[in-house]
Amino acid sequence: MSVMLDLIGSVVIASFVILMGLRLNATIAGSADASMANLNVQESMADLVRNLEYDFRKIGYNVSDPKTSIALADTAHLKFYADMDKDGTVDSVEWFIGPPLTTLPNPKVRVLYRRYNNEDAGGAAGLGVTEFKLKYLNAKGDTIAPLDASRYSQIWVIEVSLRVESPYKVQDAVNTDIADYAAAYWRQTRLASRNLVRH
Amino acid sequence: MGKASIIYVLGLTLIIGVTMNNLSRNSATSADAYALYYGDTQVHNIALTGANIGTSYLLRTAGVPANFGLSFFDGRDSVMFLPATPHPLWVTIRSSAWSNINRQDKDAGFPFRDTVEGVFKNVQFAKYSWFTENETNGYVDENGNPGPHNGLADWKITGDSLFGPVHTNNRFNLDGTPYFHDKVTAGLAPNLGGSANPTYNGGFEWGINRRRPNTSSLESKLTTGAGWLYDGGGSSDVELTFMNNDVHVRIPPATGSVRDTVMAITALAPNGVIVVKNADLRVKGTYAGAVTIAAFKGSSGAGLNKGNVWIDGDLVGASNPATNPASHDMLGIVAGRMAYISRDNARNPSTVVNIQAAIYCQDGELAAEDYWDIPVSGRVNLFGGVTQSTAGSLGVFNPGPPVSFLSGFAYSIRNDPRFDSAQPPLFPYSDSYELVSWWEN
Repeated sequence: MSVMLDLIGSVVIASFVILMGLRLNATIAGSADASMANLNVQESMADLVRNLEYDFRKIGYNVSDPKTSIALADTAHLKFYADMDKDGTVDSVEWFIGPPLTTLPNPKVRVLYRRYNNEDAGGAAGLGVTEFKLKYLNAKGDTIAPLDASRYSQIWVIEVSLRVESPYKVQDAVNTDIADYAAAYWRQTRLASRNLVRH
Repeated sequence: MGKASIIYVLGLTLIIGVTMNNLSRNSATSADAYALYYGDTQVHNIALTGANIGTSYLLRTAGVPANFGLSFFDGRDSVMFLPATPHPLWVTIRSSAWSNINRQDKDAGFPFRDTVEGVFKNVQFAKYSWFTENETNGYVDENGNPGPHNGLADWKITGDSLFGPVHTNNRFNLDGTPYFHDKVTAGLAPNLGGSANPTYNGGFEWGINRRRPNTSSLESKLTTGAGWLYDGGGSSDVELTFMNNDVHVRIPPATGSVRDTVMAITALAPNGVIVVKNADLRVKGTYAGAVTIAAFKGSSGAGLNKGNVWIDGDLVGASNPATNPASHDMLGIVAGRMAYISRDNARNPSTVVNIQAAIYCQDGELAAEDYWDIPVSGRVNLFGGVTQSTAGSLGVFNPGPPVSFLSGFAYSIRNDPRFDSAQPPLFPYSDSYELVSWWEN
């Protein structure tokens, strides 16, 4: 009889231990997944930001009249001129965001495009962009309304906001019972190319 | 049972170990991603700081500063000034930085590096549509007597539109809604009237000073380089009437008794630089080619009141630079004292005087002769610009509303875009520098 009780007791305890192990494994797997998603988001963000800064710092470079450097300034679409490769020829560069992708669990994810001269627009280096906002300011710090072509010449500073999210929900780092998209947010409040303000 | 427990424990330990290793690797890689961005940003900021310091040295001192190096922010920066690069009178600042941070990407073992490059050039006065030392009226007549508004502030108000770069080494007086199409710079922030709301279409920047050459160096450079130099001795002025490639020279203007000849501009002054000393210069006509005319006062007697340029009528290029940007015709007018638009009481409100020139007045200003005492004389269209010591006036008007002219000219000044990169021969330039281009990676 005591042997039977030992066997039953050990099976129960073993079951608890196995359940604990499975739970621990699931939690750890969730954490690993979240960690990987966060890593992807951060790498995407860092790559995108480096590319954006690289391009935007050159706005107006070698453009004879800096007032004509910006060809289109919308809330999520910027086209400008600059000699991007220092070859003496002025190039056009365009950054804009596409419509939401329908094939991913995260319905907000879009593709951020970069078009160089007349080449086909290509997706920028980072993925998972859910927000790309541009705001334009003049020398006095006043906001310049988007698509107001008559005031493009007054643009001195561009404020850029970028949000990147994971394409699927991952386990929350604190409360492991809830899930949300891994996200990173970046805002450059005074991104100005000196070529725009030269005289 | 004991073996099973050991297997459980070892299994869980293995799972946790592998997972923790993955988590730790993800964290490290994540940190690397940001470290890479941080390293790039840090070295960029080092290079940018060095370039900013170098720019400050260049803009605030005469001449080209010495190269220098700095160690800061856990990095090192080397700033080099490259004179006459890429063109004469240009200077390139190259700021090369590296950081001591150990990078972990494919370039591990190499420092982060970045270079910022700024190209500057001497400020060419011809590019300005309006430039003054002081925004006050400084009218004096040919005998040196001040006009009725001499010393009063010049105000830019509603209805005033300026196209082209605009600058004063002092401060602008602004009220209402004057319009500045291109960039406005000044030594000091403007004096704003109660309803001032100016439009700066090309932006503005205060604290900018553009040094002008002193009179002796200006005169020395032009007289030394002149293709034709004439000394009027304080009594004999010179009249030039341009006729395309030719010029009619009369000394003195009324009689031509000393000289009365028509000749090719290139025969009179092969390099296009015509200078008179101790005399005034009267000018009109249609010029061809690149020409600079200059007048300087003498050192004593009647010559002290000379050095004025009188614009007696239309003064335009043979190939209209306003409609043909490829035109090679450009005129510089340099006056040691005043540049007057000569009085002509036959003018009426419909008259138009066309002047296509860059005008420079060392001690005076561009003004209409007796502008407060002449009939309403129509409009002056100046295609080029004026650089002057004081703010000249062409007429007197009642600001209204409605605006009504009491005497003199209305005017339109438009800069000549060719003067962004070229000037008439020996036309003055500043030893101050301005930015041409700025490269950041």
